[in-house]
Amino acid sequence: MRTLSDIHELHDDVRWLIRLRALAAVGAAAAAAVASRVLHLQVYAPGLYATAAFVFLYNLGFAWFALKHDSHHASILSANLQISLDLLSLTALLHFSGSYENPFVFFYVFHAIVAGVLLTHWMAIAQTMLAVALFAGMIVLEWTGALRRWPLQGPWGLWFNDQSLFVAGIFAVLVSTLLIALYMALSISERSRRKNLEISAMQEELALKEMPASAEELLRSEKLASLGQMAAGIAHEINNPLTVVLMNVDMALAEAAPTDPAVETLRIAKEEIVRCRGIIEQLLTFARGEDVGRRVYDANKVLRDSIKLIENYAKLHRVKLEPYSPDNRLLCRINPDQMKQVLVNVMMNGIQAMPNGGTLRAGVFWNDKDRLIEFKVQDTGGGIPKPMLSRIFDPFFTTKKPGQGTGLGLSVCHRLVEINHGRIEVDSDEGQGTRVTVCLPCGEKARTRSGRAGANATEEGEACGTPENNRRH
Amino acid sequence: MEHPKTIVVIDDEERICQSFERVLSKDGHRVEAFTDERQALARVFAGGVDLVISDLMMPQMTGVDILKAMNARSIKTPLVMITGYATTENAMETMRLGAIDYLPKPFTVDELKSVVARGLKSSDVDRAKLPAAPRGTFEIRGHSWVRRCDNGDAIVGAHPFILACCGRVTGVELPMEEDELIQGGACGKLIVEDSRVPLRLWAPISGDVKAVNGRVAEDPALLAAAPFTDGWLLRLRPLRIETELKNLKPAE
Repeated sequence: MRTLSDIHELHDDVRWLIRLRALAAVGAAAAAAVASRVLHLQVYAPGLYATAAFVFLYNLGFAWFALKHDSHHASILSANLQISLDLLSLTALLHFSGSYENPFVFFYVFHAIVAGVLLTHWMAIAQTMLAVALFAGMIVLEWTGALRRWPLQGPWGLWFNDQSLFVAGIFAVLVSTLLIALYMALSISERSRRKNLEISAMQEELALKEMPASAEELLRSEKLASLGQMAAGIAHEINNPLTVVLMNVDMALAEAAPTDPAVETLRIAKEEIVRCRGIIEQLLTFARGEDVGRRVYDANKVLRDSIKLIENYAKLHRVKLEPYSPDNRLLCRINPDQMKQVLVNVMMNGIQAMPNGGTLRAGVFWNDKDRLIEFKVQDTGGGIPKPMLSRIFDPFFTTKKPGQGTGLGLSVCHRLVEINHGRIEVDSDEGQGTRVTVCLPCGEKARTRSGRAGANATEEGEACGTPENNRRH
Repeated sequence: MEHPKTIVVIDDEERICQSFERVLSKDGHRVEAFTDERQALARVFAGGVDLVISDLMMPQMTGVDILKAMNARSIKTPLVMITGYATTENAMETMRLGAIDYLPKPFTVDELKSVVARGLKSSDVDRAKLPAAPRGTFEIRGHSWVRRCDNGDAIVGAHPFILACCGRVTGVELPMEEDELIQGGACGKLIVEDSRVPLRLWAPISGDVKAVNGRVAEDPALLAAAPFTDGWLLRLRPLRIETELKNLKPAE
């Protein structure tokens, strides 16, 4: 059944029918001319021309009506009336040109199709019944002599007695039937294709608005929002004392003699303060959930840098690291600092899942099928029980003892991957270990840029100087 | 030695004021630091101030209030805004109201000195003598500019005012093609003679980098020679230019 949302569609369909009918009227007049003038069939030409003219005139009327009224009710009424008049006109055309002998009787089929496309089921069935009634009525009236019959015959007798004419006639009707059927099928499928496109565009729009897919998602995003507010408050408070520390360390550095051993100490302190600054900034970006300023960056390098950061931690926990990265560059569009944060977090989780030691595999792969870059981190720990698997990205969800984890790590990772337009998946077999996959889109040109990136990037692989490049102001 | 410059510092945290005093007075400036916004504003109104450095979020008045109060009295003293809670919105508003620069906390001494030097120099720059922007140019006031191309792209460059304030540019560091820029985020760095830290340029709009002006990278002098034309820096595919242009100032 049609719904209110179909109003526009119906209105468009009615216009389509009107355009189609204008052609049909001309076609009918042309066919009448060919039949009477060229083939010298004894059709009732004035009747045929009058019917074609009638079709043309009521078509103009409906065109005018469609321009003036576009309500659903008006469209339904107009469509029903049009189809009924079309059936009547077709019956009249047949009546004036051989009645049931006329091979164009098949054209009733098109009216049934049009009714099926435009109307509700019951209305379409009613229109089809009307077609049957009109055809049957015509035959009965002709047989009883109430209506005059114009047999389809030429000077040589009944048309189907002339084999060549019969073949040519059937052929012509078949070709025109096929062409019209093809045209209808194509326009119907084209419209449904367009409709699908509209629907998928609508879905994309909805997805863009980041509507939480479920109650769980909603809860997660609410928790994240309060987490964000908290983070912003903390960042603001910390930045002030940090300013004092940074300025004073800098001054002490400037004042100390170059040979003073304190210089090295101060330099390390300064480096760490600058690192804090970066972390707070990311926290703020994360809290605001804004764009992050992604850039084309080598995924291999993200992995290598992350592994460097956790090497000692792994050794301490008797975990063997098995990194894998291909020889060629894998360029993706990301914020590298955030991706390193994600990988380090995921790998540390993996290490913590193996209290008795084990192996941590961490690799980066190019998924040619989906054109994605995938980081995979796999541990040989105890795995995550099924009921917990669905909750691991929830903020404040943790299985660690109090004081050992905040339950924020993975929810932050989830969010970071999301704002980098990627996705993170976890699957786990109890007793077998856990595998985390982070999929990231590659840039349009990223894959072809491998050579150039090398030439332009600095030692760190940064596109524009230091990681400060993405600082917000 | 040049006659000492008077710098008014406004921050509600005593320790920050003290640090400013220590750092800047070492360079021979006369620093007058205030933890009370109203007293500070009265001092600025009294005149004879070469530069104002103000915190953004303070209990009585915000840095934006101070800027507005100065604008209302047509006080042209350059102002540098500092803040511990930097967002694109307050950065853009601060610049729109005429701040000379915007410095997120925490910053290094070198970063501070470079901003202060630019701020002090800005008073000597005669804006009337700077090249005029072509029609259709929008700017982060005196900082960077953007202009739409016919094909929907936008070109971005450095404003002649900031170029005049910062001294000779000896090199540029630009993002790469396909990098994503955010309005109010960095869109490149100018290596400046006599400064230990590069000058960070802020992107006037968000967008993906489509092309980088290689000629400027080879010959940075082109920047000052033709800031609005051949000296462009980046060509972007804008992300949401319609809404972002509202944050910018149309060229007169």
